[in-house]
Amino acid sequence: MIERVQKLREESINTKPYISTERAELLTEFYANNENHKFSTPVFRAMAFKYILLNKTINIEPGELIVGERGPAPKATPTFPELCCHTLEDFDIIHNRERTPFRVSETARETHTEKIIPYWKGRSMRDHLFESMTPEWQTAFDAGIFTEFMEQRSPGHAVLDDKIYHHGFLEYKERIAKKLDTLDFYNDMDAYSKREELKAMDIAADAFIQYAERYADLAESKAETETYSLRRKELLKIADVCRHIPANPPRDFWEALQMYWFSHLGVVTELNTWDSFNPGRLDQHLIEFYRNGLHNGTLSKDDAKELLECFWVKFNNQPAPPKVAITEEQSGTYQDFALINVGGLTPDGRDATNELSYLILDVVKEMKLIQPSACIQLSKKNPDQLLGHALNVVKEGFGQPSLFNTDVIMQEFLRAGKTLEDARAGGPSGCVTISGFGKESCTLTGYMNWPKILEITLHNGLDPSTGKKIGIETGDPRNFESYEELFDAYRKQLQYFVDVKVMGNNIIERLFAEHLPTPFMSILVDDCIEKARDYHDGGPRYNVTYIQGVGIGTLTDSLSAIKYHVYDKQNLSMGKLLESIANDFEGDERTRQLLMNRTPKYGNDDDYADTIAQAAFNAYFNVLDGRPNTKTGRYRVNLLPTTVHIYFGRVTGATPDGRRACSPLSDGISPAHGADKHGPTSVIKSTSKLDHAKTGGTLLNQKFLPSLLEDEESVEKLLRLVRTYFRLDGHHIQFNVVDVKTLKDAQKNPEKYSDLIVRVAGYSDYFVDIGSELQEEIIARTEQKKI
Amino acid sequence: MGLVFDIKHYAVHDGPGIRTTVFLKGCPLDCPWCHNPESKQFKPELMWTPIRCIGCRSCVEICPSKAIQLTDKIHIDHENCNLCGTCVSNCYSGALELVGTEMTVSEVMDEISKDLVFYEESGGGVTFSGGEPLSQPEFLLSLLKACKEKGIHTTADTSGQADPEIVSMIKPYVDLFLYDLKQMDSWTHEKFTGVPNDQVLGNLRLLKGSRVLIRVPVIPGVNADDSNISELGKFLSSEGFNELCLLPYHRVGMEKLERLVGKHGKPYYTEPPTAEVLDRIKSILMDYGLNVRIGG
Repeated sequence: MIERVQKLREESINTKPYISTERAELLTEFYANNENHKFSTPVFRAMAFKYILLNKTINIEPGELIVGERGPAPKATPTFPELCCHTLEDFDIIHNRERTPFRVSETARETHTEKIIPYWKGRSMRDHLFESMTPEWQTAFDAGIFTEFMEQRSPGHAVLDDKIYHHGFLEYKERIAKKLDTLDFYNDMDAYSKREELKAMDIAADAFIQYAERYADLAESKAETETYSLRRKELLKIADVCRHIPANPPRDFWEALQMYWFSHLGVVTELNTWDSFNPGRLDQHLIEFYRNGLHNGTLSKDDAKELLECFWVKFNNQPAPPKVAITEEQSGTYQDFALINVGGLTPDGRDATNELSYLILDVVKEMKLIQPSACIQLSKKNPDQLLGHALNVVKEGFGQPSLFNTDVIMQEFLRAGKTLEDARAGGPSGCVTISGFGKESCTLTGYMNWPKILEITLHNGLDPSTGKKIGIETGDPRNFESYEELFDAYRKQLQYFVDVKVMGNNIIERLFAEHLPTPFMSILVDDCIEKARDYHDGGPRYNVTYIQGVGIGTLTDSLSAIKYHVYDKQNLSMGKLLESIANDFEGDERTRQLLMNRTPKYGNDDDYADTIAQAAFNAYFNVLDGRPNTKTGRYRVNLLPTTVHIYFGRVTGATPDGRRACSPLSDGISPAHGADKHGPTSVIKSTSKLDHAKTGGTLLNQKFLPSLLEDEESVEKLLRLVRTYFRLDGHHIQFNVVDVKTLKDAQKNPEKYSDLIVRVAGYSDYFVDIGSELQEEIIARTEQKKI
Repeated sequence: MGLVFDIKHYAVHDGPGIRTTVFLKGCPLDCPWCHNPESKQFKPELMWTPIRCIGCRSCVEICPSKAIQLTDKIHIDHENCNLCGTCVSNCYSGALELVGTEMTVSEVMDEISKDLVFYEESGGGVTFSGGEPLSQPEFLLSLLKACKEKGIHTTADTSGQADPEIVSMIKPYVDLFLYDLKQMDSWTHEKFTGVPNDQVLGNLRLLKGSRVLIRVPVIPGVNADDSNISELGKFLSSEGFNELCLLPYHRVGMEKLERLVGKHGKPYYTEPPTAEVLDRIKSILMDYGLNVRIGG
């Protein structure tokens, strides 16, 4: 790594995130000074956006090539009081917590107390949102049946396509003007709202161009006083870049990266979008700039790598803004899920792998940053070399890149109504959910806690943790004569909670459309200009809403335990089972062991359990898929947890699979911890029995020790394992290379890790099975590898 | 029917590609360093893993022969225990296991066939290991034939200790032999394993023309000395076998031995060979023109 990058990277890693009140102050100032304004909402929001961009502190760090920060400096993290307003208690918690803290200075606290809180109290979207929900919604939300994304941040998950590399914002202004000219106030009853949205977009485009010019001015003035001639040259180049883009389309590799970065900052300054924003298919977007640069001698491979690495640092400088109303023990993350895609297909269906795909993977490997994330898209047309290269990065042990199956993603997109070309240009955004890059509003609205819904079913509508009735009465399970009766009751309960959640979503979507439009982001997403409608209001070509299903492993094993022991073998009565879980198996360890070890479980290629998993999936799919949302689009199903399986676990009592109360649920579509006992091929067989093509994304985590990837032959076998999963239409897989901490935990809690495979010496074995002496040795070996 | 003690999926060190390894129970050799000591006897055995035991005493109460005592360890009265398995099926925690299950060919094939798609994608297949798979010749032959009917690549992991007729009989159905050579001196071979090595060496000669990968467990104090290694090199190069891999001794078997309930010979404790020792062995063997790899 060259010195410049090393310095920027170290600074990025070593600077601790802190709260900047600047954006909140500017916004509050603007709102307070215009209390009685007569502007339409979109225009007012665009004006606020402009006020922030033209007045915020800008900076150019020493040595930087790509410029611009969300806050006034790297790791200075703005807040968005119009969405949700932090209290002083929130500040105390984020300041003091051990994991992922944000420092809050005294001045920041004062400013917040004096200016921000008084203005926004009761006025933020969060306040609005909770006031608008029904008591049924609130009860289910409080009980942890589902979460609500939009109480903290705004709809996002947006990824850009290639448009900004071909068109400048002056051209967008022309398109907006043209559209304004064609509005028909005689026949189009929406003409007024269309005009206001277009006017807002135009204001936002101007603001954005002027914002870049501020950087050009700053670079020029810095160049004047710069004594070091090489740096002076760089600063003048930065000025030239920022003067040209974003008004005009980029002319070279450098300008292309800066063009994206400014667009990124525009989107994440306008609002705090869920899963920040991301350039998507970076290897495809940049390849022409790269080849031209090499061809005409203005760029070398090393130059390109250096610029990419400077670009990488930029993402890492922007931690995800901290949530409000969190408790001490709730986990946070700095990760803002910008997922850069490499590989996959071109819009005309060819293998999209190019020189930059490999260069980008090298950058990922060298930078080892949590942000941005990277993934490869792998279709049957992509070479094994791409996957091999990716696995060599996986080996480094920081979970990147994740691996996606383009061929099943195509099926998913086409099923959801995208054109072939738009499907090929899209891919996973954020975590694992797919979206039509540059053309879709893809909104994840919250997680649905499946095992908790089973718990409510087993208690006939009551939540045993509070004794409150939160569901519907589906009968006392002690009176159910068959497993089918029980499953039917679960299905009814599920239908009820999905209805409650969807009804809430239908209100929340409108709150955003009417109160917090995003004219800037709307310029960037097709077809908002052509439709003259906002991103939040059905402007995009595609509009999908998701509610993410969580806990299929825990739910399946629980249902399987009931079916197997209560109904098939009849060695445990429903009454005894309910009593046992009510006591969290206290004093009845034998029953827990029976449930844990003598039950057919998901993840072992055992049809007894796997058909239950399929039924659980279908039940969810049938109550949700295809329902209309308020943005002219439809609901789809996806299965991923991020980290919510920890929170959902905490609010869910003991489950019939032998899981103790409050412990985590299974994550994604992975089997519950310790449930799979036959290795990765069985996990892959079980998980691929779900119909991934009917989802918008599934997540499969696999644990591996670095030693399993130490020689070429092992990497080749892992590569074949991935190819097989994808041949079976699996959507996504990622390998978490296990660290020493996990191994130590596995020694103490073997039942949670019975699936952990380690390479011993020329062969592999289950870690929990190899005896403590050897375990110690492997721990020592793993520790050594890290150094 | 045959006695199987394990079927491992995603076995990646037992031949090419992604494999499933079927372990047949029972071995004519009695190597004290064996890393699968539960594979030796030709009958099922009880295994007890203390860390899993919850002390519920179900095994003690349920045993029809009253043959179990449980203190901080488990004690089995072997005279009265008839391996009926009642204790195992009532041990929900899985602390007690019966190692070794009678399985039919079709039961084994069902399990193997689950991973067909992986074999196909990776050029993998099935490995028969043990114990000594050739010690259950009819069962092994039926399995090999059944695999060939399904187009599955087959590997036999053998000690070579078997009737030559058996070797000739299975040879046409085996795509790859993983063939153990432990010690070139017959006296020393017998001293450690209980049998001389003439059958092992003789059977290897029968496999000319088959694909054979020689595997040598490297055990300090048993076979890691220069003179044995030179003899080995000389023998292999003269017989025309040039693919060889060295498997460094490891202690994992010793731990398993403690969990086995019953009488077993004394284990062989030593330090694993150092990297220098392995490199030296490798270079001696390479001087004989052999292709040597360290590790599975």
